[in-house]
Amino acid sequence: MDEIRALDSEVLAISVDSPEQSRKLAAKKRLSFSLLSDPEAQVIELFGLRHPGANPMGEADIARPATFILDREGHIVWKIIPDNWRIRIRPQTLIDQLGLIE
Amino acid sequence: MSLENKKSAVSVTPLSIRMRNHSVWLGPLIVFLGAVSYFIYFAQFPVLRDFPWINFPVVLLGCWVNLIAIKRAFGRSDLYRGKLMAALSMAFSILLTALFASYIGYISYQLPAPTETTQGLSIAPEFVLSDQNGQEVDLSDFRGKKLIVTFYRGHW
Repeated sequence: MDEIRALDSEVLAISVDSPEQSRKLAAKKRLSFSLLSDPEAQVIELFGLRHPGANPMGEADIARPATFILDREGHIVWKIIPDNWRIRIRPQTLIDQLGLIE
Repeated sequence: MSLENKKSAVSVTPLSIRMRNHSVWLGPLIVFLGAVSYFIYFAQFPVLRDFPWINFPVVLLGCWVNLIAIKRAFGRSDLYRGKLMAALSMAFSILLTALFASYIGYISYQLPAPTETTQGLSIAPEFVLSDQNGQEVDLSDFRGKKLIVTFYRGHW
C-alpha cells in the first residue's frame, strides 16, 4: 500500500458488504484503504459487474471481481476482469501499471 | 524355528488379533487436511493459491495411502481387518479429491462473462459511497490522483 501511495495513487474497494462488515474486515486484515459499501449494487451495476444469483444471503446481487486503474482525469486506462474468483491480481501488477501512468 | 512360528501364526490369526490397518484412517485424513488447508492457510500465498502446488500432491498422497489400505484389506485379508472400512474410506477420499479438483478447475470459474458495459467503459461512472467508517467517499474527489478501483465479492 505504501508503494501505491508513493506513486500518488489511492485504492477504493467496492462490495455489497455493509460499512459495519467492511470495518471488521479492514480491522482484521489491517487494511488502510477505503472499503466502500454498495449494498444495493447500484455502482456495481454502473460498472456492469453484477453477478446475478450469486448472493447466498439474498438481497442484492454481488459483484463479479474486476479491477480498474484510473488516471488523474478519471479515464479507465487499464482493467482486468478475471474469469475465476479464486485467482487474484498481484499487487505488483497494479504497481507496475500505475508506474506507467503520468 | 522362528520362521516356522511366524508362518503358522499367519495362517491361524484369529479375527480379533489381525493387524489394524492404519492406512484406512490415515488416507482420508491426509486427503481432508490437504483440501482444507488450502482454504484456511495456503490460499494466502498467491503462487499456491493460483495453483495448489502443495495441496494437490498432499491430496493425491492421501489417496495413495488409502489405496494401500484397500490393497491390504482385500489382498491380505488374512493379515488385516476392515474391508468395509477400507471401501468407505476410499469412497470418502475419492469424493473429497473430486470436489477439491472441481473447485479449483471448474467451480471457481463460474462467473458471468464480462458485460458490454464493463468492456465499453472508458471513463469511470461517478459515484458516492460510504466507507467502512461511515464517511461518504466521492469518486470525483480523487481527480488529480491515480486510482485503483477494485470490486470484490464480499461476505468474508
